[in-house]
Amino acid sequence: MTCRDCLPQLTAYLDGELTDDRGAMVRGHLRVCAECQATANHEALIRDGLRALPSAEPPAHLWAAIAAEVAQQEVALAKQSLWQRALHRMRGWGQAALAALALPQLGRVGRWTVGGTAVLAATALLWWKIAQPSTTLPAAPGPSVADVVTVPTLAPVGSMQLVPAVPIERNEVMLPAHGLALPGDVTAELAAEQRAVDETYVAAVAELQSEVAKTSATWSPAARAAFTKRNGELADAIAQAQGRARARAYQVQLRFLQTAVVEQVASIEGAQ
Amino acid sequence: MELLYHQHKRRVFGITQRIVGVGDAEEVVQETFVRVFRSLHAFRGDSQLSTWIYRLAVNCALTYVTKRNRRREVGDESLAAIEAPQVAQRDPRLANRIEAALATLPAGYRAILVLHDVEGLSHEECAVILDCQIGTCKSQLHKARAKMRELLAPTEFEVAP
Repeated sequence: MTCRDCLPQLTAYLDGELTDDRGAMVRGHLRVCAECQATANHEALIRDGLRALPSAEPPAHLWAAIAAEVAQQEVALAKQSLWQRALHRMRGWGQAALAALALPQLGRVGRWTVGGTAVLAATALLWWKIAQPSTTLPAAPGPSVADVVTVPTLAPVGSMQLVPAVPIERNEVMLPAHGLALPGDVTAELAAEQRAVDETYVAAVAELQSEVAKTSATWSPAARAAFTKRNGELADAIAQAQGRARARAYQVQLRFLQTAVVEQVASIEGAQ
Repeated sequence: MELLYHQHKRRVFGITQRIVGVGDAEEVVQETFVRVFRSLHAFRGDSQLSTWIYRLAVNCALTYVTKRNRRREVGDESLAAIEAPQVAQRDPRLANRIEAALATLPAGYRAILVLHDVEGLSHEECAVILDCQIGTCKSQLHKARAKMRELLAPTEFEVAP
């Protein structure tokens, strides 16, 4: 075996994946070739270093931000019109169809073209279906869930009235005149979640600002002015943003403050 | 939902952080879990749930890196300005040197090293997550380690305490 044969197999050998003769051959070569042995040692050091890297812990406020984002998206989804939902679903079908066709050879433009055509074709089909003259739905064979429809607008608060089904026109089924009522008012819940996210971020920002304030008196006036200016800009950006953009603005400010804290700690250590 | 988050948060955060960098990890992890919860119904059980979640995480991270690089190409100074502090460059310790070298690798190499070497996933799992053949996965790992060897020259590397 030569170095040229050995080096491509080094990674697999070091990971214990060459259990047959190939492993013995690589081992044999490493015994006699100092250069390959040095390379192997070096790679093993790097691999062990990578394995020993500490695991990172996500910040505590992250779950609140995720929960708020999920809730916001669910509300947005519930408010979507029939058309938006249909298009959203068709986009999913289009993607699934493309994945099933497995067209990796098509470039980005090609994929978009095919995807766009698929979405357009599906939209046209749905349009044609809905544009057909209204017909009554065929009667279901025997009693089923479709035999009753819920009429939330007629129901007294806190209860649900069930009435027998009557022949319904297709369009009425898809576009009820009273609209789709949400299961409950989630606006308050959403606002509470946003407040919880805000409070978490505000607490984190305040903590970091107090850290900065401990030593900012020792900074040069120019550095202090630059810090105050940038911090003010970031606070303004937070005040103006909403939803996810707001969370992002908070994260930018947190990073800015973290940098300030890290820099001052480093300068203190350097001075010592 | 929350239970699922807490079960996988550490690994998802670890993978994401090392692919996109410390500064942007939170945003990408948030995007990942929102996607997980939105498309959980579409999970078909072809692979383990954890593998599926990590696949979403890697996809989100790689997409983010691609978009970020594109934004940088058009010269967005403000984005460059909020980059995470490069503490690793000042710290001579081994782990920090490795982290710094890892951060300079192309995103694809970074992903395979993080999944296989840092997170200890098997080649089979890595192949599912990266949507490639096992052979491709092994070959990418070999190239990524070779690149790391280049970045961490032996003399410099061994001098580090």
